[in-house]
Amino acid sequence: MNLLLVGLNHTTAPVAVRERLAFSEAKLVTALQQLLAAGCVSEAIILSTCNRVEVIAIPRCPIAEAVEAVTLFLCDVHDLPRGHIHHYLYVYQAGAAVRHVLRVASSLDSMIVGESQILGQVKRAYAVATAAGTVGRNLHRLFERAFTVAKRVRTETGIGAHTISLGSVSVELARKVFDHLTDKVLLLIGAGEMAELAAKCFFEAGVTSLFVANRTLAHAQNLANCFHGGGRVLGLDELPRRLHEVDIVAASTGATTYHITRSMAQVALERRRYRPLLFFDLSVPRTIAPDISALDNVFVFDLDDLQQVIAANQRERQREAERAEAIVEAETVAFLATIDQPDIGPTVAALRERLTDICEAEFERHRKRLGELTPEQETAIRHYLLAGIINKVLHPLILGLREAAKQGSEQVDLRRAFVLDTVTTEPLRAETTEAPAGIRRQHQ
Amino acid sequence: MTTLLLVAIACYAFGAIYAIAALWQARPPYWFRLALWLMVIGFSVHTASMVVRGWETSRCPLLTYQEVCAFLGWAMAAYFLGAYVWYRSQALAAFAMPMVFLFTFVAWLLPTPGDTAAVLKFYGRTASLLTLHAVLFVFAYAAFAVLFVTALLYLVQERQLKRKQFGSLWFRLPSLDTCDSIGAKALVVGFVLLTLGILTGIIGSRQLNGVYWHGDPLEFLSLATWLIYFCVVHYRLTAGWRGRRAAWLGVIGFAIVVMSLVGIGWFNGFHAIS
Repeated sequence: MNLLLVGLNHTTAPVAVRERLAFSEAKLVTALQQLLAAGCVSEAIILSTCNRVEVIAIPRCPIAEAVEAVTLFLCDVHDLPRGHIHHYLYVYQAGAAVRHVLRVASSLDSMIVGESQILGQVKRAYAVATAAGTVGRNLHRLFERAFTVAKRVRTETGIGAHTISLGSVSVELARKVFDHLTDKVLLLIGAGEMAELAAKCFFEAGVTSLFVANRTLAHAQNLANCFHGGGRVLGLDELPRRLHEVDIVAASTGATTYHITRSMAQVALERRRYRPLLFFDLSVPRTIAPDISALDNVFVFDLDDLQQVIAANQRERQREAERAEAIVEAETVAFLATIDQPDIGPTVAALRERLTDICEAEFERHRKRLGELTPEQETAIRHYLLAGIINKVLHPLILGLREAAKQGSEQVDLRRAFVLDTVTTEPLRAETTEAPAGIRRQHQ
Repeated sequence: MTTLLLVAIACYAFGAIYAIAALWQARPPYWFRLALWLMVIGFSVHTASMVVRGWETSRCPLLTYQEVCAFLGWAMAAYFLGAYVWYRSQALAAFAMPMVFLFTFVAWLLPTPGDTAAVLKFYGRTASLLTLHAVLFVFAYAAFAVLFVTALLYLVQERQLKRKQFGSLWFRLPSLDTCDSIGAKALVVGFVLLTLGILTGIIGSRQLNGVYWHGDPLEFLSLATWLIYFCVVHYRLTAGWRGRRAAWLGVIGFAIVVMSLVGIGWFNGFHAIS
């Protein structure tokens, strides 16, 4: 397959360039049709996300010309001076292009390896191009394979399993302690941006109950109001009395003394009958006394600890990515092995149609000779006898075509396909037929 | 029975290998599915082997040391499969399978005693009560095995959380809450069954030879087991003991359970069986 991919991504182009080349979905259909109208490519899909713009096409002219045409198209569509984007672009052909498409769909080429959005974006790009009528047999086969590979990578490796942002890692740790977060109470100490981010992550994870403790109560109230259902506001002096009511504490203030001390945690723990208590200290200097982690059922994580989890998750993702690369490589080779074979689908369909027409015509021609037929008998002839004969004749032909396609030809060895040189008729029986036993005997 | 048991052991062994490999390396999901199917097949064959044994001897297959171990392996497999269906915890299954394998394998290694009719004759009218006593004990021990596995999982995970060392196992362990909750249920089931087992034992003993207590080493061990688990239940209910302390007690309790099991075969005394 003569495949061409021209594009740029976050590693080759700065955001200033990427944003100028991005396609809005509304513009995409016209752009695709414009590209095909230029005449250098016969099929095309444009993948445009915030991190990449790629044109995947089947060229109908020499590669160099096709690359030039696609580059010019990108410049013209976005009113950019020609030659302005050349050094940001990468070009992949044939096998390399297939590999790249599979890697992109499997999120191995993403800024955050393993993120799950990219597959949806690739699917969307494919759907838009299909609607625009710019997807033919080749790109259809490639993208169908890309979706299958992406799904395989996601199920067979843990590439998307490990989160790598501060907020989501905190949620992951909380889930390691509590399992479900829906009935858990979150306490934010401080009402700054960091606290807000943490709260957002925990709310997305299902936490529904919130306390906000802050020196300035008005700020705490503002933050509490931001969240669905609203949170309750506490003064910092109330912390010792109310600490036992919460399960998760996220502290992020600029204070230089500890807001939570060991004795406070000890009292809270006794009051909550030693149910686990989880602290995230997101402030520097720390505002939760580190020695409270010596208490049973208390877990404290400061910024360094969270960074450590992120690093572990990244290592795990990297390991999984290596396994995913192996899958993509194997799939690329497998795809390339099948793609160069002629597609026997249209031939088979045409053959079946012709055979059906012949059978129908012959049946109608000899209809009178068969005499009076009940509807059941007529159905049996059409659906079992004739369909059975068609299948019997077609089956060896399909096998022969498939065999020939592997050698890149469409010539079927008829003597071999219909086993004319041996006595046995075993291969003819290989295909299931619903013809009644009597008819089968006649046939043989 | 021995051939069927051998097939079950092979299934458990391969199941354990696949489950652990799947846990360690996050291998393709079908590794773990394969492990589960091996466990289910092993369990079915194991059940068949016990039915055959019961059919051959016309009694509950729980009279010889070999039968006790095989029964325990079977009860553990049943409990672990149930716990997996309920909690879907891959780590629990991976830790449990080697234990099921171990107990069943030990059963296979043990010699098959010949005639057991004399023992049954000795038990006389109390035979069914004493069988119930043994069944209750075996199921209690299976529950304590589940408690032991969840306690181990808890301790490993708690240690990682406290020390902030996140090894490859970290990603596949169930949450502390889940471990605690499975353990708590196993504790209740095990403790109730153990108490009933001890009571039936006392009543059976009284009916058999008129004494409640023989001063047998196994009786002391059972009392110790009961006290340990009583402490866990008591402190859990009154002082809110949970987590690490409860987990350690679960581990210690199971150590005594294992000693009792070994003791059945090795100690001389009223409970000694061949």
